[in-house]
Amino acid sequence: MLILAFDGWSAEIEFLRSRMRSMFLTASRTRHSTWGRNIPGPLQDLMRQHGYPVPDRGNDLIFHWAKHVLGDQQWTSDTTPEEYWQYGQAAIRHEESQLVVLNAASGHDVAIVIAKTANVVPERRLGPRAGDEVLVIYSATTGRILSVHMVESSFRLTAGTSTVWLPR
Amino acid sequence: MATQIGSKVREDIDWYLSSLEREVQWAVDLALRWDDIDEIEQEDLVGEWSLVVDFLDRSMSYHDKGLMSRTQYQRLNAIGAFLHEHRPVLASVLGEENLMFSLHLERHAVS
Repeated sequence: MLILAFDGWSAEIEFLRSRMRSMFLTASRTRHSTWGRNIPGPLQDLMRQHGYPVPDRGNDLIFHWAKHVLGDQQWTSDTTPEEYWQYGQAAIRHEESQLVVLNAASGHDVAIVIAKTANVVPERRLGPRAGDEVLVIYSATTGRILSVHMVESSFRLTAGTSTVWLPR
Repeated sequence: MATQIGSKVREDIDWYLSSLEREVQWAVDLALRWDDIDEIEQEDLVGEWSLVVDFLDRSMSYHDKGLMSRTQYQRLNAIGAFLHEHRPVLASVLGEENLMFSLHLERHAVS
């Protein structure tokens, strides 16, 4: 694991955090300029089952909320999309959260905020499959938040040699 | 009581194995169609990959603790064999370093 001090990089790091804080899981546009994205059938079924409206086409927030809250059961099913995103924002803001950058896939550099779940999600909102850490994943390549979800431990994800931990 | 705890654990293992099977299949499907899929789908794979790692970690943890039934163990091995079969295409889009976590399972599955 590569750990660097990055003296003098504090302005850039704060810029990155600030940019992540200001973002939203907004509507997606495909290369064909179609607004929104199809929500997979199984996720639509879960939304109906829990009494949520199902749009013809959803945005990234609806997609990730449905997948991780209703599908993966990481948050309780009464957690709304807006609340789900607020927990992601809380992870970015929390003073104990960590920030790493790594090359995740071909052509994609990502920044990941890692927060302790207990620090940002109240116990009453923890679903049956909650994890110990909340990850907020941001693509530095395209400037989009890619996902907000929980894992048991980010150790394996961040154990690679291309991982760079950034100081607060 | 012990039986109740056992059935809950078995249920959890089944849930994680099903999730892992679904996510690995999805990841391979996207990797195989990489040049034809939308940029958003490509980024979904990047954004969700940590969850695949997490599901595998949790499944391996159940296995290492000796909590899996024979059927569950066979399902885990099948996932390992599937990952091994598709390692080249996954490595081509995710990078070899991001696949290191599954090597142990793959070696175990194909030995």
